[in-house]
Amino acid sequence: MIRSLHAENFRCFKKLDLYDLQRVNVVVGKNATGKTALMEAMRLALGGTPNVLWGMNQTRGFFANVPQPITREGFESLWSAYFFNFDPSEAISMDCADNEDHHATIRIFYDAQRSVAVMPQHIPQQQPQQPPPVLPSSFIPPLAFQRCNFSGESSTLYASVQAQGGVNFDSGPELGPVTEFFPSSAWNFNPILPAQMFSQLSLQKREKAIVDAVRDEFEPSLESLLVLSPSGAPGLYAGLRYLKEKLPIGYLSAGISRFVAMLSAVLLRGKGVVLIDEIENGISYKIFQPLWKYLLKFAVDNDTQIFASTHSLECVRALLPAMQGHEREFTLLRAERTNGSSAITLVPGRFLESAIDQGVEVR
Amino acid sequence: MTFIQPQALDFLPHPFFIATEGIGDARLIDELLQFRGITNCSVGCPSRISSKGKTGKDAFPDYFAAIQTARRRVDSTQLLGLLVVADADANAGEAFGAIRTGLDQAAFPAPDKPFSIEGNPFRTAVYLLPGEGKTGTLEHLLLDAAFVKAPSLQDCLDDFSTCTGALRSSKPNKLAKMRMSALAAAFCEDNPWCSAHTMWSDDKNPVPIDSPCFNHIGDFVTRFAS
Repeated sequence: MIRSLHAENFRCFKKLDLYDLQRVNVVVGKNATGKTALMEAMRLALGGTPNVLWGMNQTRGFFANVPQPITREGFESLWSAYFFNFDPSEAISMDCADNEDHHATIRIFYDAQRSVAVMPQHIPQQQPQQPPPVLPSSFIPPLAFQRCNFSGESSTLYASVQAQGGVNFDSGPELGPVTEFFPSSAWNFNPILPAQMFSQLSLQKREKAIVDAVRDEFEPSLESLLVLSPSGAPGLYAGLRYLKEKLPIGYLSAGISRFVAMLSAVLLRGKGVVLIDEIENGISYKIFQPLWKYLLKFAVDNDTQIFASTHSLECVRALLPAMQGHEREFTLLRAERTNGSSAITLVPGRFLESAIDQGVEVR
Repeated sequence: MTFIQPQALDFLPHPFFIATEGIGDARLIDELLQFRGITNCSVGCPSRISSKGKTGKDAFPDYFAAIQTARRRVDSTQLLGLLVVADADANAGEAFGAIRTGLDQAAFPAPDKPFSIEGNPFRTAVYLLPGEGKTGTLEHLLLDAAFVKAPSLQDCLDDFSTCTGALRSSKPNKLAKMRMSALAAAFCEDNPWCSAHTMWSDDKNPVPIDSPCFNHIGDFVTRFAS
């Protein structure tokens, strides 16, 4: 389990210090205070590869494809928003520690010494009698990911531009435990994800807990959940007693689909981290209490750690039954922004439980 | 202006917080702050709609933890002190012990004894109503203030307590609450249902905030917040 994360110059955080992280970490705060950026910091600290960083762009809905060939300005624009105040002269640095005080670190910066000369892509038309002009090549420094994993093994990966203008992302193992990131439903949610996860659970014969949870909380007539691919693409289907055919779960409810995916992730990512942005999305307020209870139970049973953000007061108040007697498993991370930089304040579970009970506005 | 914090405590606007046992105590403290021109204190009391069903001193540990949560907000003013105001009830030592335990549980420093402002830079104190060396409740103090202004009221309430049988059946603290309620209801003729908590809004409130009976607690609050 991750106990602490320290980051500098990442997104809206000049400096981010998270400590005493617990099994279930609830992230609150107004819009644009850094809730999602906090989750991205955790994802990056545990991932540490160019693909992880690039994937966050796509999750946020930007840069569906890398333009190729690419200019220096174009290449830098892919990454500029990750640097605090858009200033890449200060490296992004992160240090993440687990329960046993093993650390994983990463430093991300433009490595000017490894700049690549990229040929100009557009040579303007010239008059026939004039010699062709010699255009300067563009020198594009790669983005270096200088990393050290929890076992102390160091490596450096690069996101770089090749001489012809193509972009290359070095691949490599992630630094820490397996991470799953559920973006807000306002952004991209992969509809195949619930099917993939449920399929993995079925292979391990562990899907019953999910089926029971859906039946108990949403649909008493649920007979089965199955991954089927009638059209070629896999999808999760629900068999209901009153329907003559099985129904794609997304047709039944997008919320149930997300519920299944979240619980499945917590079951599957044992010893890992599940990041859930805006956990309340698509879920009825009546399900919030059981959702937290399932998340806590599955997380404890599988040694999974959860970071879940919410804007919903009902969702926060629904924490109470799950928290009572398990206060130490929870913490509240409240994102706030002052003087242009975001900061996180931490409220231990024992205070959080009392505060919610007393009706304090904790968000 | 009121210094009473909303039930849904949000951020802390002032550097000193006065946590009271109930809303009646909170209203008295609020009136005192206004009367004395003290502007750096917030006042609040535990919620009566807690899911745990705890009220009064039993709810203090949760309420103190709630204050700890609110003080962590970036927009909260740095908290410099916490004063707890509660009834001494029948045993001031027990009342103080319960408050002290609550402070400990919520990781606040606890004073060694009541009526003592302790700690530096963060100060804590406990004031037990009706005042130092006494047992009883908020209502005892309020009644004293009403009787100083209109001594004949005491005989009147004694008669009322006798003829209704309350004098025989009620415990002293409950009897004081009944007498204060009866007095407030009788005086606040437009609001005969009013209580020690709501009477402060009524022009005919029988308890004068400038009563010398409030000098001790007023001076204590002034010292705490200075």
